[in-house]
Amino acid sequence: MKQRKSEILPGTLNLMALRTLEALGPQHGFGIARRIEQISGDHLQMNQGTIYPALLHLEQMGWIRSKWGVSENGRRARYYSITPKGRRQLAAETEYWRRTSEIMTRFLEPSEDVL
Amino acid sequence: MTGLRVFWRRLRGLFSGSRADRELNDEIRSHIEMQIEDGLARGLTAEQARREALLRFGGVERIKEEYRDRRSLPLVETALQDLRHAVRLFRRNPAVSLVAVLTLALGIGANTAIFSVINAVVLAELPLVEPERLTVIWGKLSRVDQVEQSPEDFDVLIERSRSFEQIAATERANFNLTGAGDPVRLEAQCATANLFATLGAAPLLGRTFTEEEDRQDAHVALLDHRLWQGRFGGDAGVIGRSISLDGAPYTVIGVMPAGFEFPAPISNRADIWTPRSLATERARKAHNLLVIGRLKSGVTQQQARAELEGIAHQRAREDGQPPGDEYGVNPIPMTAQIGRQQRPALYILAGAVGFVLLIACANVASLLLALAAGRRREIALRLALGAQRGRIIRQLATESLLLASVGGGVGLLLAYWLGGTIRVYAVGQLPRAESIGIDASVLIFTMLVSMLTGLIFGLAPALSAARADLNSAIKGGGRGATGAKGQRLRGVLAVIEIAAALVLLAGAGLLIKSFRQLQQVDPGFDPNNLLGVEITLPESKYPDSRSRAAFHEQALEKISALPGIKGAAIINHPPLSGRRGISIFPIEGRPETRGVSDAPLADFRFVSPDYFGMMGIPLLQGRALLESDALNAPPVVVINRAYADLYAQGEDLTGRRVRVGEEWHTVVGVVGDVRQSGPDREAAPHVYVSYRQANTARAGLLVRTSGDPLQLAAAVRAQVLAVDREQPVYNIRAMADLLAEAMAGRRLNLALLTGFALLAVVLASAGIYGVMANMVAQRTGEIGLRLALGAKPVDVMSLVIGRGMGLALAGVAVGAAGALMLTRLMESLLFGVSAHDPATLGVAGLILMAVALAACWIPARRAMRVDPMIALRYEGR
Repeated sequence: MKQRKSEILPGTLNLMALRTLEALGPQHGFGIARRIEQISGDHLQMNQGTIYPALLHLEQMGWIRSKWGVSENGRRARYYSITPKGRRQLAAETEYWRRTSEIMTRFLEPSEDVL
Repeated sequence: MTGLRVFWRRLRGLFSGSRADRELNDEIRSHIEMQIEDGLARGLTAEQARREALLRFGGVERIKEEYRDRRSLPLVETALQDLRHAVRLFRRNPAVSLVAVLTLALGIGANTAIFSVINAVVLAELPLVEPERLTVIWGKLSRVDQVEQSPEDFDVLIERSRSFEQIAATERANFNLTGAGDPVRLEAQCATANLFATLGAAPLLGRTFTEEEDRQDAHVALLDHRLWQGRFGGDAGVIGRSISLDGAPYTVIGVMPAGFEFPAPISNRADIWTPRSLATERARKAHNLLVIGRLKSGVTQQQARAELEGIAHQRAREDGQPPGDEYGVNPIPMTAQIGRQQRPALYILAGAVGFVLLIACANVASLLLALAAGRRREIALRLALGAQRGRIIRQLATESLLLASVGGGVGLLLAYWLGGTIRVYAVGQLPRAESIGIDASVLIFTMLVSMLTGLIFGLAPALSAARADLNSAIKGGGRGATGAKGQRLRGVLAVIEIAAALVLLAGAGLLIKSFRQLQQVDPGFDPNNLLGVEITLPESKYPDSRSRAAFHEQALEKISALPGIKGAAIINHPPLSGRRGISIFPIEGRPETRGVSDAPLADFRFVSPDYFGMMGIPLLQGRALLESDALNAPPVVVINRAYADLYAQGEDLTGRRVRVGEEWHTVVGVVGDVRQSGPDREAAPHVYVSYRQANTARAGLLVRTSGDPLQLAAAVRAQVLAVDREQPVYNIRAMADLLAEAMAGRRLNLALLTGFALLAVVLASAGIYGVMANMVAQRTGEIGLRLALGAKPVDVMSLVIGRGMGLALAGVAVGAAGALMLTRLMESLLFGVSAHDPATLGVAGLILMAVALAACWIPARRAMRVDPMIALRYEGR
């Protein structure tokens, strides 16, 4: 059975971008998009361009900030970095996901108790 | 909170505009190039790498749009875009835009100006505590709606009414103020102590009078703010100061704040207030009190009215007055009292400018329709390229609102100017006229009217765009479904305009006719070269009739001796002075009537013997008063024709006796009527007594001059001072001016309504011109064809004119029907002419037809001069 590529859940892109920035430090849009592709393996179907509206949203919320700089290859690029507020938001959302998946896992496991 | 931050960021995003776009472009380009590099590094060819990069990125344009949507506020962005398009559109069509803005400015400006008047006079809050709980309690007779009450009436109210928390009374008076600058005449109100508590007004300095002072008629006084500033220099030390009123010492105990205007029914100002003791008042039946009550909380005006009417009814029964002929009561809420007489005129003017605005909207709608016709291709193309119809309509709406806003702005300037002009002429005619101006309410009104106007005239082109037929529009051609329908719509608009203009013209015509009738009314005396001054003899110096008569005699003698003086006379209440003394003068031998309407009510005047002759009042019967009718001679009286007509019941009253006060006077003559309240009010019955046999402290001196009366004012004053050095004369007027002033209110209404009517006619004629010009332009091909087929230019011209006159005729017909219905509302303003006067209507109609003919002239001539060859060549365009 061919594994269907799942479309990216709305909102989770924000989380993934935040996490990427926290892990990798300041990064440009291309770098973040590539990293997300890599981490999710081949399971995610993603148009790289969608990273940009997401980054805009993160910046408007004050969770990341941006600065123009020069890339490894000497190319002009905009670098994004996470802010303290962003770290707090990341922690909160991570916790939320962890708890949600825990509940869902428990819920979906075959249960011993017969209902 | 976060929502707010995002909003703020987006708001700022509105302004970063193109720079943000460029930066995004750079970023995306960078991104794709990096991806390409990556591809090349993996061994792809340049072409493959590029294709892969684009594929993996996704739709660039879509990303850009999504980014842009998030970056700023999309709604505002599109609105700004629409605005920019609208501005560009109007810059490309400057002539149309200018005409539209001007038309709107005139319409909106006129409406705003009239609203500012209504706002100041009718709507503005009275500067009193809870003015809606105040009531002015008038008495009522069958003939007269608002009569001042007597002390006896006041007592009954206090005793029997339960609806009021406070009831106060006040009487108008005058004092000579001496000892503080030149002697000057003051307008005063003598009030019960609770007047200020009733009105809810507190003094700025000092205090108001106490009950004790009221009871004792103490000599204390409260100053009006303007008097305090003007005469006493705004000095706070004025409290406790002694001033001299009519020669008697009074102590100033307080000053009222600025803006406290005594809310008397006619814009009576009061310079000073003194206590008025009703308890010691001897003349208990004299009707000279203004009674004001403050309702108890929880009691409505209707409940109070019902109770007061009940009390009046009961009293009338106790007095034996026959039902239906009683002395009744007429309580009017204070808020309805202000400007009561002038409201009908104001509302009519408001209606008139509403019509003007309607015409203006129709004109602008017409203009925009013509504009829309020219843009049909552009709009159809946009629709075909995928723009939503809603977007297009929003664009058109923006254009309308832009026009309306600019028109409203210019209109506001016009209103400021017009309002200011009206204010100058309205002071003295309208209460609170000084506060006519642009305030917050007026601004809000202007905005609302502008928005509404924009919606109204924007509707037509918006609807026509919504129904645009894509195919025919794109294929081109000046005709098509839209063209003909547009023509018809514009024709309808023109008819409406003409109709509205006719109504206004008819209204103005009726007012003009009324005014002319009024000017021809015989006032009953000769007002030319007549000087009037007033004097009041203080009681301290002239305590009785004899001393007063002696003064008058001396003054008259001295003044008559002056060169340039043809005669002089004394009368207690001169015509047009606004003062009257009314009482009942029963005829001897007639049964004492109980009913109010039968009682011989008449105006009472004391006059010097020369009065009738000097004033030019004709003697109709018997004799006038003589010098020999002195104090010890038999008491006599002269009546006027109105008295005889009303009360004589066919008898000849000469020789009969009439009771004046306590005495019986013999009627010795009948004189002609004088219209004492102005040309538009009927002459009242008058009873004249010689000044030697009865007189009052306050009187008017009337002097007939051979030249300009005001030139001799100084000489007259000098003679009065020669008799008594301390006697001021005041209110120096030429009677002819007073007569003109009595008509000043009408003149103002007339000027305004006529102005608006003319404006309406101009706008309507512009409308007709527009329709005709458009028609000729649209049908140039057809005209060319007709000419080519042998029609004569004259035929073409009559075609155009025929169409134009057809529209005008339809407009006049509709307008006539409208006028017949609406002019009835004006009846209270008319004099001597019926609201349905056919001559006025006819003239108005003719004027409009003539104007329409003139408006059709130029387009008709243009039609005549169409060159068939050129017209036909462009036929297929």
